[in-house]
Parts: sequence; C-alpha cells; structure tokens
Amino acid sequence: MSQSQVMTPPVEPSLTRFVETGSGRLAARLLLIGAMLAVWQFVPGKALRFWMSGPVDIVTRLWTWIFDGSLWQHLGATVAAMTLGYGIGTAVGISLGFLFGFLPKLHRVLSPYITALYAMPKIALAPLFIIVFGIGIESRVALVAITVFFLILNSTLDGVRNVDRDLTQALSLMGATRSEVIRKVLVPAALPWIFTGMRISVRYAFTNTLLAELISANMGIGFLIEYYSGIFDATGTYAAILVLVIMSVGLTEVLTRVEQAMARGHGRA
Amino acid sequence: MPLSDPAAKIRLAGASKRFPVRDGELEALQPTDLAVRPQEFVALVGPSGCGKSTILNLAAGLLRPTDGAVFYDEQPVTTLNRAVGYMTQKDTLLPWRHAADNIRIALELRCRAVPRGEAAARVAQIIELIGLKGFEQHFPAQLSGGMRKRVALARTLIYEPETLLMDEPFGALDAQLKLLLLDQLQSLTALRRMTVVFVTHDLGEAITLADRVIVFSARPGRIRAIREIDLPRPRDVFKVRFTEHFARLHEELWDELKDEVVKGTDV
Repeated sequence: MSQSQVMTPPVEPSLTRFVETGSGRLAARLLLIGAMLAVWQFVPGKALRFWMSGPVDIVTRLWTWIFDGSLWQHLGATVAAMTLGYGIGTAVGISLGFLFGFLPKLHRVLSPYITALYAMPKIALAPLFIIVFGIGIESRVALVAITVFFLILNSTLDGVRNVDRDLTQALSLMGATRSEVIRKVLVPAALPWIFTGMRISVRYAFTNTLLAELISANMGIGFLIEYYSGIFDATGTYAAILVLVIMSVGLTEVLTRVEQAMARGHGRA
Repeated sequence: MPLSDPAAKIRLAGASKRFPVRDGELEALQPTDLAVRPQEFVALVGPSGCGKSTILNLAAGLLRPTDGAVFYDEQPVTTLNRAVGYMTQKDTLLPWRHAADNIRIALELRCRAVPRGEAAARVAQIIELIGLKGFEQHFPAQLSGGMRKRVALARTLIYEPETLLMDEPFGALDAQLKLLLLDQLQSLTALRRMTVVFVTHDLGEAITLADRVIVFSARPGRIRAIREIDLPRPRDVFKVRFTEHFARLHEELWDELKDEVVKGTDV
C-alpha cells in the first residue's frame, strides 16, 4: 500500500487548484452566494414568501431607506449610543481602575461589590435604565457605558496589580516619588492590559447597544429589527439585519487592523 | 571589632532574618555583626542561599531585620534607603524603554533633575564606557542576558550613588567581558569614592576587587571568615590573579569556602 502511495504521482484536479488561487476563491464565493440568493429569490412559493421575503424586495427596501434618509437616522442612533457609551465607560473605567490600583486599601474594601456587579449580566439593567433615563438614547448609552466600565476597570486593575514589584522598588530606590513611580512604571506597564480590555469591550458595546435597542427604543438598527418583526414585515426585518451584518463586518475589519497595528507595536517591546 | 567602628557606612548589629514558610520559619541570616567602612569595597562570598542577598536587602531597606538593627550612616534603616544604588540579581529594566532610555531614567527624577542635554551627554558617555554602543535603541527583550546586565550596571552607575550594592552583577558574562567590566567598576568606584558591597560566587572576582572579603557559611547564613585583601591598589584586574600573593589569599579563602559550598549543595 505504501508502495502505491509512493508510485502514484499526486494528481490535483484542476478545479481544486483553481480555487486555491485568489481569483478562483473569489469566483467560488460569488458563485455560492449567487446560488443561495437565486434559490431564495425563485424557490419559495407565496406562503413562504411572507416569512422569508426575497433578496430583490430586501435590497429595494434598503434602497428606499437610504434615499428617504431613515437609514442614516437609525444607523446614526446606533453608532452614537455605542460610541458614547463606550467612550464614557472607558474613561471612567480607566480612571477608577488606576484609582483603585493606587489605593489598594480602598479597593480591598470595595472589591466584593465590584465583583458582584461585574459578574451580573448588565443587560438585566436595561429595563431599570429605561425607567430612569427614558426610552431615548440616554438609557442605551448608560447600559453600554456600565458594561464597558466594568470590563475596562478590571483590565486596568489587573494591569496595575500585575506590575513587577521589583520594577517599582528599583525606581523608588533611585529616589522616585510615588507620583513618579506611577507615571514612569505603573501607567506604562498597565497600558497593554488597558488596550486589551478596550479591544474586547468594542464587541460587548456593539452587542449591548443592539440588545438595548431590541428591548426598548425609539431609534436604531435594533429598533428597526424589533419594529418590522413586530408588524410581521419580513422584508423590513431582513433589510435591517442586512445593515447589521454590514456593520459587524466593518467593525471586525477595523478591529483586526487595530490589533495588527498593536501587535506590531508590541513586537519591539 | 566592627561594632566599635564609629564611622561605619553600613552597620548590621545582631541583625538576623527569618522568613515564614509553609511549615515554620526559614532562617536566612543568623544574627550578624558587620560594619562597612566609608569608601570600602566589601565582597560577600558564600554558597547559594547563605543570606548574602538578604544583607543587601537589609541595607537597602527592602527588608527589616527580624532581630537586631541595621544602620546607614549610623541612622537606623527604617524605610527604603535612597542613598544606595542597588543592582539586583534580576535586572529590573523597564521593558518598554530601550537601553538608552532605561539608563537615563534616574536622571529624569525630580530629586536629581538633570537638564535634558546634560543627561543625554552622560548617557552617551556611560554607554561608551560600558561597551553598549550600537545597542542604545534596543529594547531589553532584544538584548542578551549579559547585555541587560550591562544596561543595569550603567543605569545604576550613571547617577553616582554614594553606596553601591551589587548582587552577582556579572554572573552571566563571559570571562573576558567580566574582566573588562571589573576593571571599569574598580576605576569608577575609586574615582567617585563609592562604598561598595558586592555579592558574588566567584572568589577570584572578590579578591580582585575587594578591600575585604567576607566568607559566609551555608544556610542559615553567618559570617565564617573575614579577610583583609592587602593587594596594592590600583590593581590590574587582568594580571593580579597571577601574582603569588593572590594565589595565597585565594587558597586561604578557598579553604574556608569549600566546606560551605559542599554543605550548600546538598541542602
């Protein structure tokens, strides 16, 4: 048997080889999506169409939204809630993370509460925030901010606490003041941890924005999905989901770029 | 004798150190009396885990003695002792700063506040002196162990601390380079009139540099022998080890040390 393996020259079917090339792979992908869309467009009968809609209807709907401006309103609301919440959560998380890091006694007092709140799924707070902040963007910002806050708080704290004590000691022996030790050792040492936390938080911010919009909102892509499915408009629902898919791909693309840039930056250190 | 020395730079008065461990206590250092005179170069030799590093940590104020007391300039050491430059066994370079920035860090501190231009000049000078030219822009992770030791040495020497504590600073270096650095260390510390406490495994290194060699016993550490090294100064580090006097000192101290090394290894 082993002999026959040795004797037989490896024959690769030309199709397999074609798919290995860049343009071949692209062609295969287009073929696949084209076939799926064709099936979706032409196979379902009238009854199924009500639940499944169809590619042409969905794209037409999306087109309408683009031109009547409603897409941009909802997209803007989602992006605004996400970025505002992310920004606030990150800023407060880093600040308190350093504060607790530099004041370990304070942190030891508070840590059971932080742990308890960190462990709780923040989405459960959404109804509460709606009561407090109303159905507008504020409640979604609050939910995203608190989610991001705990992630960043913990990564900052981990960063500060994992600093090699020998490094801080060495600097103190040279005569560094407490604030110099903080600026020259603790903060730079914690930065990679903070960046990691920030990277992870982006996805949480995105997901929780959407969840908040699905639960209750007057704006946003999540609201569109919820609204159109509520009135049994499959075309609208799918069109909104399509927007979401495009957003996710874009976000992933940006994150990958940032991660690559950070990995390069780290290579030197 | 050391206890009665009125002008000691560093003085241990019955200082001992015990560390709590899982089942009881580990005695790192038995009660020890030791006085280091100003501008003296003292070498501590002994097997691993004999409390040599503990003495440095006590002098630097990183540890408190379990019993007894530690004095610096006759003042009890109760907090970090900022008069010393401490080159620990592990190099404590900041991984995000390249070599030149690591070396400069002491000059950035407010307690020294050296102007930028002067700091740069001093960094360039010491890099030249210690043979790190061409590696200024390398990060610690890109340097070999020996190179990192040299950066750490440069970083400690550049701010000219009054007292230098060194814990096996040249252990990882090859023999030729070690001699070169010993030579530089000798001339620098003499020039700056530094007091030096130097921990080493290498008896030859100790005799080459020191005014006094102190041999420690295996754990729990205690002083076993003290020997004045009366080799004339300045010493030629490359040749002094081939003199008869050196050989005699080496033999004498090795007799003290070898039993302890044997004891130290079967612990």
